[in-house]
Amino acid sequence: MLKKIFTPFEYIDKKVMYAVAGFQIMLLIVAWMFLVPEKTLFPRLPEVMSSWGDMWKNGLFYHLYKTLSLCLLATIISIFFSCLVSYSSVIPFFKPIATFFTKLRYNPIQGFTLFLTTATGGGRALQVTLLVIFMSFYFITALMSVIEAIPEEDYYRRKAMKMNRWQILWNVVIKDRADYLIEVIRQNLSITFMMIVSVEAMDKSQGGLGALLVDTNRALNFPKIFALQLTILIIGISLDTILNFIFSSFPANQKQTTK
Amino acid sequence: MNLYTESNCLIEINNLHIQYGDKVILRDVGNDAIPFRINDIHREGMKQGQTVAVLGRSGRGKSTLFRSLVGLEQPTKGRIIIPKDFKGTDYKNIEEGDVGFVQQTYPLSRNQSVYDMLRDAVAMGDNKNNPDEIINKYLEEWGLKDQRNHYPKQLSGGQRQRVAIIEQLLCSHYFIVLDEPFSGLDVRNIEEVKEAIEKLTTTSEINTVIFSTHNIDLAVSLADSIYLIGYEKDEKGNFIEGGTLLTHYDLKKLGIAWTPYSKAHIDIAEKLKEKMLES
Repeated sequence: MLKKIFTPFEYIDKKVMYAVAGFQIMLLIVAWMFLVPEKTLFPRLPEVMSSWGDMWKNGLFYHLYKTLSLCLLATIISIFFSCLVSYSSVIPFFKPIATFFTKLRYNPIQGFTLFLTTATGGGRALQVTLLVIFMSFYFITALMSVIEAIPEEDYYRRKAMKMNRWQILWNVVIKDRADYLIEVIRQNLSITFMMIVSVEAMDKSQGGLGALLVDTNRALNFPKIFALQLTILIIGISLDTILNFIFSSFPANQKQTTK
Repeated sequence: MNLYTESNCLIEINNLHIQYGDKVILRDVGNDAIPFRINDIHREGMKQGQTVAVLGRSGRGKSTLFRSLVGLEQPTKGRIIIPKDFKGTDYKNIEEGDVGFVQQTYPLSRNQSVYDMLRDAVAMGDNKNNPDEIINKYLEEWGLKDQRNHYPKQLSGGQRQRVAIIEQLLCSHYFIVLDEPFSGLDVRNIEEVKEAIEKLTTTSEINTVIFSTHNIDLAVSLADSIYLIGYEKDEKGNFIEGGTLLTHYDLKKLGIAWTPYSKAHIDIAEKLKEKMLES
């Protein structure tokens, strides 16, 4: 078994794989606990845990709630807008517009902030707008890839069934690929999390993990910085797991054997 | 000798030409020399539909011809006609949805159960009353009763193909075009498809199955009419661009349609193989 674990392309039983992962996590924790020298910038695990406890007592939950609610609101608006743009790309008139949106993801966020602050009045509205705009560029790109990957046979099937073009759009592109929408959100969630810190830092009065992280950075409180980073990582992984579960629950993605 | 008569034309291709830019895909299919015309066959004491095979090497325009036959491809020149209402003598150009199309990969909806897919098909068909009854009847007849609530991922290749056939039957009229139905199937599945085709062509007089295949023996054993599509050669022996009909064997006229596989079938298969290799 040990040889198999270190051999390329070997099939490893799921239980063994979990054991390997568990062992690696344990190793990391042990190394962090005992191998990090004292009085260095790199904080030790007990210090990080103690900072995390302090933060929890001082309103970490509030910041967590602020971040998650911002993330949820921006994702809902962004997905709605992205679906509208992406699905309309199958209509020839709207195709160039949708393609243009996919190219905008190369634009940096900083150039727009002043204009958007003036337009939205700043605060929460600015944060939501910034997130929606930039998340949408990635969502549209990913959704358009999903649409472009639809085999022509799927359209032929529905055309042969006498469906009109709008029925084909609904059945083939939207309904039959609803699970891919969840997958697109999941795959782009990391970008959302990367942006959310910068966006929250723009207006710290609104709170959120991003605002907290910027303040902690300024104070060079490394245990606290690590605790916050770990919090963000755990939330990200949890959301990723939930979305993956929803994606896997669609019939097309369930693990079944052919009868 | 099997006695039969033929009456009105059910589908006819007239000088079909399909070209993308300068590239000719199909050239003069269904001309005076080799007409493509499927007539309604009658045999006493039974319902006898029509089974037509189209043979041809890869890249000779079979798939384009099939897409044209189901109205998915617009001809550059020529036309394909079918009866307007199967009652009078009026004909019309073929349109999307007039002919059922079962593709080689038999695509199905990824997240719909067999029942839901068939319900959609009933909704698109002419007979929308009692969908449950219609669906159950078809599921029973095609041996898919137990798969009613299964999803495509839970179906075998043969079951998927049968669902694809029923779906097209429910919303089309009497024609079914099957593109490479035997491709990649094992012996058991091939038998299932053969049975499916026989079932289709013996449930209604007008039912017509047109299928393509690379398997000459299967075509000869199953069809009552066989067309070979390929490239013609010019005087210098060079291929002329664009697939066209090279030969037609009417097995009914030869007296070997609907009969057990015999020496006569083998001879036809040999001739077809020879011609196919040259095309």
